[in-house]
Amino acid sequence: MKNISTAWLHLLNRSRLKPLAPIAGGAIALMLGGILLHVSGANPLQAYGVMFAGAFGGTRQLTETLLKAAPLLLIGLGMTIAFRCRVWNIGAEGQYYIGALCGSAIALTYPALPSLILIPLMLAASIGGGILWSGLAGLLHLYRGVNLIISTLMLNYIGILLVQYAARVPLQQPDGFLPESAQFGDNAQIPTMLGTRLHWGFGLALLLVGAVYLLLWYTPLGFQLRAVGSRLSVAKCVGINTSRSILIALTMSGGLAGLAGILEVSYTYTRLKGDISDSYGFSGILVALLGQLHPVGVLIAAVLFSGLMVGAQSLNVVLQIPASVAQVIQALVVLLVLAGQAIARAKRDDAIPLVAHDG
Amino acid sequence: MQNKAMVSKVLASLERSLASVLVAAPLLLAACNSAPTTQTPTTTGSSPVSSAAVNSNAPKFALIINGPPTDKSWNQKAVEATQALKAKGIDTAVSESVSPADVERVLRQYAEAGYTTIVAHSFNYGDAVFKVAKEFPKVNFAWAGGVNKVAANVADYDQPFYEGAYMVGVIGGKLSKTGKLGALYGFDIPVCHAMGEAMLAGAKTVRPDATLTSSAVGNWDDVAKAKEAALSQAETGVDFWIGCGQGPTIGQIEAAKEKGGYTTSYVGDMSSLGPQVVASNLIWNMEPLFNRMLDDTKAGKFANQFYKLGVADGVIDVEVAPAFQDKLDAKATLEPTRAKIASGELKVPFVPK
Repeated sequence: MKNISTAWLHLLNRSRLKPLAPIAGGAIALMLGGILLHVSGANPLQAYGVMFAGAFGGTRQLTETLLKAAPLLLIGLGMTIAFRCRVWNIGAEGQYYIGALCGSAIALTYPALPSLILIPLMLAASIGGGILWSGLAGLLHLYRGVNLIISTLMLNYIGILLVQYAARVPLQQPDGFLPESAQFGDNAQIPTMLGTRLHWGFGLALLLVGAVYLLLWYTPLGFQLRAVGSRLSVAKCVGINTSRSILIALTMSGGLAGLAGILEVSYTYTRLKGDISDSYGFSGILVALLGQLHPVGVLIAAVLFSGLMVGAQSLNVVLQIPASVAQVIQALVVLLVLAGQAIARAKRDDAIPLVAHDG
Repeated sequence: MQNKAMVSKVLASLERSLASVLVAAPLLLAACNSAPTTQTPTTTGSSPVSSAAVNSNAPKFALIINGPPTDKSWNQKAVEATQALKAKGIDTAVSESVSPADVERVLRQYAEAGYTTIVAHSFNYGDAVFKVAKEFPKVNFAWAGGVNKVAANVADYDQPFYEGAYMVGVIGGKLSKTGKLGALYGFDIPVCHAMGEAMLAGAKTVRPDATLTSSAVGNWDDVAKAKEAALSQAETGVDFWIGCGQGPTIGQIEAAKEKGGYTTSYVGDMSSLGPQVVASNLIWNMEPLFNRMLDDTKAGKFANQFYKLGVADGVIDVEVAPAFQDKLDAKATLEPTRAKIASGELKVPFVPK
């Protein structure tokens, strides 16, 4: 049995087809989804046409897709830094919430400041919030050896509950009866770019694609982060301060998640409430993995992932196909493309082993 | 050295990613070309386009809901009312499970597709509705605010569940052994608070010594938390409940199954969840409400409307659950009260807080 599977892997390794595995995975997912669509009474080809048109079929559609890609891209970029350093930050959702909370606190405390001062302050506060929340897990890890996966995961719940509390008590709209803050003024809403519906946060995220690439591959810090990620013991031996590297990678990913949080609240929700995320913190992790932990790959993955979500919703709006069917197709595509990537990556030496630092 | 090797590997992986996009694009484009009619939304793929769609003046009605259409409650009743419109030949569409993060996009999509009346069936859609409505002044939007927040092309529709809750109270006065009634709210908002108080008022017509214990769960969907709250109410002797929100109500049903007592369905028929404990259903029949919206759209009277349709309009009603038909004579129990509320002879007190 082992022989057969190694022979099979060997064949794959030899063949030039291996890099095509993710595409094959996507195609298989679409075929399986086609069966599901057929059972739901739709023409699969027409349905996929609607999905594609709904996500990329025109300026408006493309704008919507890019808008939804912005938080995924920011979180995905952060995860790229963290995962390259083999820091398993599963807490992006909580960091996103705390970032949104800190930014909102600024917006609600200083409502009269001009946009040019208020928005940078809000962004800075949100990044600070994300850094703080991820840093908490980092300190617990470095000083007490608490497993990062567990602490970041648990801090998600605390962060979300903290925001729900804030929206209900200290930041609640004075005359309101629901758990939400007052609506932000126009000066606290992130402006859009050149007459489109696309906000400057997306432009910022695009700049960060380049910045993260340069950081990881053209700076000493990036080298240290990747060195810690590939061999902790070796990195230690060559004199890298590994604790510092882990903390930096973690807080960078936290800061970016926090930034994503305030951008969404400022632009989409326009007020702080208990539910301000479409699971971006978790989808962002998927996007980082789909993008193979490369900034440009993450950009492509964020746009495609967002397109998949927007297109799937279009399926429900245009063809009245149940949302659950669209969601299953979405999950199938992500799962099988990731599986394809795993095959494509098998036995490649730069593959990031999916194990955490021990201790 | 190592850096350089890394860069070349990354470039290789980048090439792969690009290749995958290039390969996938023609496939998707081909799929797109084979379906030239996809730009404009049509009615359900499986059913033929209704004749109404041909007439450009005909109303087109879209409903957007926050959860699944099978919740036996808030969402399901709205979908059923939309299906009733469709059965009459009106062009309708429903979008389900739309999160507040996505609703702006879906609202725009319907507005651009020529829908004349778009109902955003959640309080949480409010901000997005007012934003999009400004961009489409000729499209009529409605949202489930219940707070009389309106605009030139945005209507608000009230949820006067308290009128039905009064009738539920009459049933509670008959069924409760202890005279202690319980109410659980998702949040202590006026719509919910008025339900508990109206139930108490109704119960007092049968049992003057009836009392009310109410609390807010702090969540619309958390069944487990609501069950705990209902169980602690049961400890104090509560044996009849009304709920405001799906989670609180299902939690009560679960608690009553364990500790005994009777509950009420929330704006739908939840009796299948606990046939032995759900005594009556508080029903929200939205078809007359949606009809009114369509009439007003046609007549151009949609501006600044705050719809308050209740028992008198057949929008709010109470029905006795099947297993309780023998125990409660529905006609004798409910009909006199219903008639009095409908005629305006009895004005159910609205106690918002």
